[in-house]
Formats: sequence, structure tokens, C-alpha cells
Amino acid sequence: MMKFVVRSSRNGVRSGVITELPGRPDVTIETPMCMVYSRTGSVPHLTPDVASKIDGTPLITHIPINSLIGHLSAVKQCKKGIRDFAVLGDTLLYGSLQDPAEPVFPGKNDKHSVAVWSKGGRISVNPEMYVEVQEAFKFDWFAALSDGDTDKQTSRKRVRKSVDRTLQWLDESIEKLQKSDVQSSERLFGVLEGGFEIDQRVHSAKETALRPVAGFCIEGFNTAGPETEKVDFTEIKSILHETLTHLPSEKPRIMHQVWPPHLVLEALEAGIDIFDSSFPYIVTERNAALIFDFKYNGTRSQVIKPNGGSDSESATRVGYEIDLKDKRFESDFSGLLAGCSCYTCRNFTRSYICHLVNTRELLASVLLMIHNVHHYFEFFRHIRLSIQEDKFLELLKLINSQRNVPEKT
Amino acid sequence: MAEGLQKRLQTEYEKLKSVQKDYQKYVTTRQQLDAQLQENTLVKEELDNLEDGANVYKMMGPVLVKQDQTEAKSNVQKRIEYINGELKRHETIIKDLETCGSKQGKDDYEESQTLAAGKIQTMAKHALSLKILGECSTTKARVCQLTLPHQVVDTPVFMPVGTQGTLKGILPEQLEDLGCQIMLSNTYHLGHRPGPELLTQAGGLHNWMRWNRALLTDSGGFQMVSLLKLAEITEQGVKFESPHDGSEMMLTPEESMRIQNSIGADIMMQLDDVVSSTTSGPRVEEAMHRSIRWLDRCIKAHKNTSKQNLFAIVQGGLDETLRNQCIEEMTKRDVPGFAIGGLSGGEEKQHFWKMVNISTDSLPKEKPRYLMGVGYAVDLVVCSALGCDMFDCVFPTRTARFGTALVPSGQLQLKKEVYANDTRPIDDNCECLTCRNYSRAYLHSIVTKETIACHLVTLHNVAYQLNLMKYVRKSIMEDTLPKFIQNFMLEQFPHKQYPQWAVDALSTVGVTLL
Repeated sequence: MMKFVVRSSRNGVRSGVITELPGRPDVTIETPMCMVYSRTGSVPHLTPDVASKIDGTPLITHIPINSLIGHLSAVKQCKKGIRDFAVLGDTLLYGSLQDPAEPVFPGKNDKHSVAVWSKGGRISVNPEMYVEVQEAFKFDWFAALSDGDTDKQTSRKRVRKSVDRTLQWLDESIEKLQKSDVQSSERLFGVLEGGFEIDQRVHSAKETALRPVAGFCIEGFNTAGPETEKVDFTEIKSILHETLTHLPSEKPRIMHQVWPPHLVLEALEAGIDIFDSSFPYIVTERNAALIFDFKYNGTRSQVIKPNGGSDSESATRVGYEIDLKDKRFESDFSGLLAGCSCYTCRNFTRSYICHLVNTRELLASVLLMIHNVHHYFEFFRHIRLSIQEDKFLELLKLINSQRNVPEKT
Repeated sequence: MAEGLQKRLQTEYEKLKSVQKDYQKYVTTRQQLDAQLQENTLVKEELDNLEDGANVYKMMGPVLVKQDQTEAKSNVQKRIEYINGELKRHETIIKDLETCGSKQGKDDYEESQTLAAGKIQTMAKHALSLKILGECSTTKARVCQLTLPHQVVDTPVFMPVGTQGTLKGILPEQLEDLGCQIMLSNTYHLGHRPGPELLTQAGGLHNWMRWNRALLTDSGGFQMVSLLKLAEITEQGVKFESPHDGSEMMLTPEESMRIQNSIGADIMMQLDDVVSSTTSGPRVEEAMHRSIRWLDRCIKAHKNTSKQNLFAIVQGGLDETLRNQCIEEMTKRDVPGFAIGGLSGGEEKQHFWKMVNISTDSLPKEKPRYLMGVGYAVDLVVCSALGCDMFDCVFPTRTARFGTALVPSGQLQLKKEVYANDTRPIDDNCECLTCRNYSRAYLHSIVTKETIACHLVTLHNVAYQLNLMKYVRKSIMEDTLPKFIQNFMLEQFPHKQYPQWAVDALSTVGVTLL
């Protein structure tokens, strides 16, 4: 069974390692890390041959089940579950209930079930069904059934309900899973709820920590969807600080929402270990390319581009992204980002991608997704590097200097 | 006597062939050198623009390696000098070969050409050569090797359509992996966005979209039919109102050539006066004559004959006399290839195949024949048997995006519930990425929901089309095409409810269905 060890913890930022992966004894996964965000088990827009062009793809894939739950009977036919059905190779698979990049409509959960949405409509999931999902899908890790339909405005009473239901479902699930497959119960992540009510948060953390769970997933600050990239994290951060002290340190903590760079760093300081790549997906969906700088001790230098152009941007960049709809890129024959080694930047120009975006061609999303996901994974690699080199604060400063500044035109 | 001549001609012919082969080789190398020179000149310009002390990196595989700036500059300079030297050397060789070719003796040459007609033809003055590798002994089908500036293309060939300089979500590299040798792009769309100026700046479409193989562009004329409400056709050209921004656009033969020259496709099409294939009367005749006049204007306006081939488009509606008249006129011009145009516009199939059949009867054997807008499997097989070499159609890629996969027995609509638990691939015998990996059930769960469903089914459908043509070529080479057609048709129509037009078309070329 997988093992997670925290190697260091400085200013709240944890650095850890996951070992003893099932079937992959040779592999270790370092945290902080970013899971590969998937929809229906695939990286959005990318066929597997194209996705494999992204270097250093993390070994954990996040599979929100909302879009797959309607195909339970088909998954059941597959020996290795979702791994076979969606052809997922041998990465570690983490299943969760809601898609972080898809809005969830509030007010649809009740004491027996949670509502999830797919393009086919709403499906209510109860503990029996959720256990059935795990039996069929066979995730390596999966978040327990939870009622995360709370935010800043939610009443205390509703928050308490969410905590109690989630704990009750956790117990029911563990019991059912142990009956069917003991191993499965060891793969379960407990979900922490409690909205913005600190006593409820602490209660949820303490109680969940008592259960035999593989790790923790923290939710209930806001409902899922692209809007989560805009949340004010100040209060969430202080609640996380308070709550996470009640968790055992040797279990990983996952939080899925849309994470722009500064929020990743804030969440790290609060003690979160594992994220996912729904942010670069959201950026791709608005036809933008990530260009933020994370090379905290690097000197920027000019690089000859494959098409003969060179980096036209100055050393100090502002903003995280550029909008490829912008007509000023029509005749820009440089790559999306100077110095980037991704497949898109090695082969294509801003000019061509701008054309694809403005003619609404599918290849626009393919090329942007390759670049954005590559850039985001590289960001996480630099986060780990900065922790090793004791330069996290420099990275934080660099990221904050690029935050919320309107793009130069 | 005749035997002696035959032998002499054979030797001369072999000699000529080898000279022509060398010639082709040197021309190709010279083209490559041209491209290298251009690339290096660009790099030099960039290096000259650098400030002193700026860092220079060289890409070696996936990594960037730091280089000394002066060293980098001198390296590039050396490379440019070397390429210039090579270019000169090649120019001399090419000139020599050209004179050598003409020294062969004009009479011998012409005799050998007559004898060799149907075996080999090279057209050194055009940027293509067509070599007939095999002919079906029953039908009019043939297998050719069409050498274009960017790629040698095996025909009969299906060309997928990448309208706006991209094939619907598929990377150029993925298309290459499928074995695609030539694709099509649309002049009307590219002329509007990004426009010829930008394409010239980008170094042509090949470079801009990163497609290293052959490209064909249409003239923009076909859009006249589909956008007729917005168009006004005069002798000068076609006046469009842009559906994008309402602006006025005049497409003349000259403008079409200008745009197509900026795109830089291996094959470009003349602007033709297209009338809907369901139209009849004097308008059809007018369009035919105008297409001939526009062909002349296109030939005159075409600025890049050494690297791009201009094809004529045969018009004449569904009228046999007009078609023949058009072919007679057009074959008087020295064009590298012909297209059969004005069909596939909703006309009756009985008319369609007859027009194709008379066209291939009259068109010169030694030049490629491109049947425009045809791409259904049955049509591809029948029209290959009628002697067509090239085909294009948006159908396989368009239908893919709606979740329809092409299979030997017809089509699968993957949305349908029957596929929800179907663990088989789309086609057991297909070796495309999609069929190697995914079940119908998985595809069923994502079609019309996720873009990768479009990509996966598009990949399969293109693979299907290319494979079908591969089998057609293989059976022509083995001279088993009639048998192949019989089996193919039976698989498509298991109850033998063959469409009458296909039965009739095939019987004129000696194929009887099972």
C-alpha cells in the first residue's frame, strides 16, 4: 500500500514523497504536486499520442466521475475498471465526485444523496451507488462521498448538516467497502467540510482523522467551477491553518479547485500537498496562453525561436497570460513564450495560433492546452525546486509581482 | 527493322529516364538548399540584431545549449557560404542535364515518347512528374507515383480537407503518422483570413502550419456555388460579400493566383466559373467558355511555376458535348494536370459517372486527373476504376465530428445506445490509434461531449479513407481490382441492393458485381 512521508515542513510548506505505488515500486512521486486533470479520463482536447508529447507529466491522474457515472455498466465490463475503459496506462488514478472546472448548481443535495452534473444531466449519488462506482472504476485513491455544497453565505445550520452527512456517509462507505473489498476502503480519502465555521471545520477534521483513511480532501469553501480561481483566499487560508493542525502529518492533503499560481502558493503555505491542472484547462478555454515567470533565480535571456523570431517581451512580464484572440498577435511569428520547450512552442507561432483561435479551429485548443499544461507542470517543478533550494519566498515574491497587473498593450 | 528501332528506342529511353531521374533529384536538392539558405539568412539577421553579451542558445534535441555569440555568428556565416557554394554547383549540374536532355535528338525523343506513352512521362518544366506504375487490365484504373515539390504521392489518393490551414484538431505530425501524403486547403478562407500578405510573411502555408508534405489549394471558386446569394459573377471575376464582416471582395483569376501563390501549395487550381450541377441551359455553356478564358488568365498570372503546379478544371455541366469541347480546348494548353469540376453538387449519380467516364476517356493519360469533391467510399472505388487519380471531400472529417465512424460495412453512429456496452474497437482490422486503444463504449461515452471524441473519430476516418485507397492501389498493382471491387461492394451492400449507377458505371469498365 502506498506510503506518504513528509520530508520537510518550513513556513507551513510541506515537502513530501509518495512511495510504494501499486505495481510501480520503482516510482516515487514528490509533493507538492499537481495531478493531471482529466475529463472522462482523458486530458481535455488531447488524444493520448498528443498528451504524451508533454514532458514530465505527473504520475497521478485526477478523474472526476461526474461525466463517467452515466456509463457505469460499460466500465463494469472492464477488468481493470476505468484504467481499461479510458486507456489510462499505469499512472495512479484518483477519483473524485465533482469536476473542479464545471459549475455545480447549489441546493440539490439531500440527506441521502449528492447531485452531480454531466452533459447528460443531473445524477443523484448515494453511498450505495458510490461504493458501486468504486467497485467498478477501481481507483487507486478516491475521495469519499461528500456534501460540499457550502460557501461563505451558507447558514450555520446547513454547514453542520454538511459536516454530519459527510461523516455519516464516510462511515457507511467504509463499512460497505470493507465487506466487498478491504483494499478499497484503504484507498478512501476523507473529505473535510465545515464552510467558514471554524468549530465545524475542527470537528470535521478531528472526526475524519479518526477514520482509517488514506488521506484528506478539503472542500466546502465554495462550490466547484471556473469561478473558484477568483476566490478571496485570506479567510480560507487562516481556517486551513487552524484545521489542518488536527490532521496527522503523514497523510497527503488534496484540494481541488481552479488554482491560479498565487493561490497554489497560498494553499501550500496552509499545508496542502496535492493540486490538479484544471487551471491551465480553464485558461485554454478562454483562448489564452500562460506566460507567467516562475524562474525565481534565473536570468532571462533571449532565445532564437524555430521560426526565426525572437522574444519580443521585456524581462519583466506582467499578468499570467496572453489572450490569443488579440489581433496584435496576427503577425507575431514568435512562439507563445520565449524559451519554452513545449511541443507547441517548438513548432508553432503566435500568429498561427491567433488564426486558429479567430477561426474557431479545434487545433487552437489542442496547441494551447499542450503549452498551458506543460507550463503549469513546470511551475510545480519549480515550486519543488524552490523548496529544496530554500527559495520559496523568492518564488512567492516573483509570482505576486505578476499578479493582478493588467496586461501591457 | 522495327525490332532494331524498338531496341534503340528502348536504350535511348532508358538513358533519358535516368537523366530525368538525376534531373529530378538535383532539382529537389536545389529546392532544399534554397530553403536552408533562407532559414540561415533569417538566423543571421536575428543574431545581428542581438546586443553584445546577449545569451545565445542552440536547440539540440529537446535541450537548449548555450553558445558563444561570436562563434554562433561565424557558424551561421560559414553555413551560408557553404550553402551558396552548393547552390552554384547544383545550378551548373541542372543546366548540364537540361542540355543533355535536349541533345538526345528530338526525333528519337518524340518517338520514344509515343512508344512509352502510358508507361512513363516526366514533365521537367512543371513542378511535378507522373509515373504510371501499374494499370488495371480490366478497368481504366491506374497506380501512379506523382512527384510534387514537397512529397511523392501515391495515387489513386484521397486528400483530406483542412479548410483553414488545419485539419480539424489533428496535428500535422499525426496526419503524417497516418501516412497522409497530401492535404487540401481552401483559398477562399485563407485569402480572407489570414490573407495573402500574412501568408507571404509567414513563408507560405507549409511553414506556417508546419506541414512538410504536399498541399493542394482550390481556387475559391467552389464557394461561389455555396455562397451564391452573396456573389455576382462577371467576366472580370466574382464579387463576394464577405460572410464574416460584410466587406466586398473581388475574386478574379489573377487574385486567386496571387492568393494561391502566397499559400505556396504544390498544386493550385484555376479559378473556374462554377455553376450548380443541377443547372442546365446556356448558362452552363457560358461557364464552360469562361472557365477556359479564366484558365488562360490564370496561366498568365501564375508567378511560381517552378514550385507550384496549376491545374485546369474541366467544366461543361452534365452535357457530354460541352465537356468534350472543354477538354479539347484545355488540353491545348500546357498545364501539368486536370481536374474534373462542377460535379458532386447534388446531380443524379447516373449523370455524374457518365461525365467522369467521358472525361477520363479524353484527358491525356500522362497527366494526373483530380475528381473534385468526391469522397464517399463507393464513389472513390468506382471512380478509381473509371481512371481518376485524386479525390477530396470534407465528408469523412465532418461526419467524424458528429460521432460517425466509417467502417467497411458503411457507418457507425457512435451516439447510438447499442454501442454503450460494446467493447470492440470501431473496426477490428483497423490499425489507427483510435482502434488500437479505444472501445466503441468509451467513444460512445464521449462523442458530442468532448473534443477528443472529434479527434479520435477524425483520426480513424482519415485512416479509413487512406487505407481504402491503399487497398485500391494494391489490387491494381496485383491486377485484382475487379475482384476487390466485387468484395468491397458486397460488404457495403450485403443484400446486393447495389445502386444502379454504380452497377452501370462498373459494367462499362468491365466489372460485374457478385
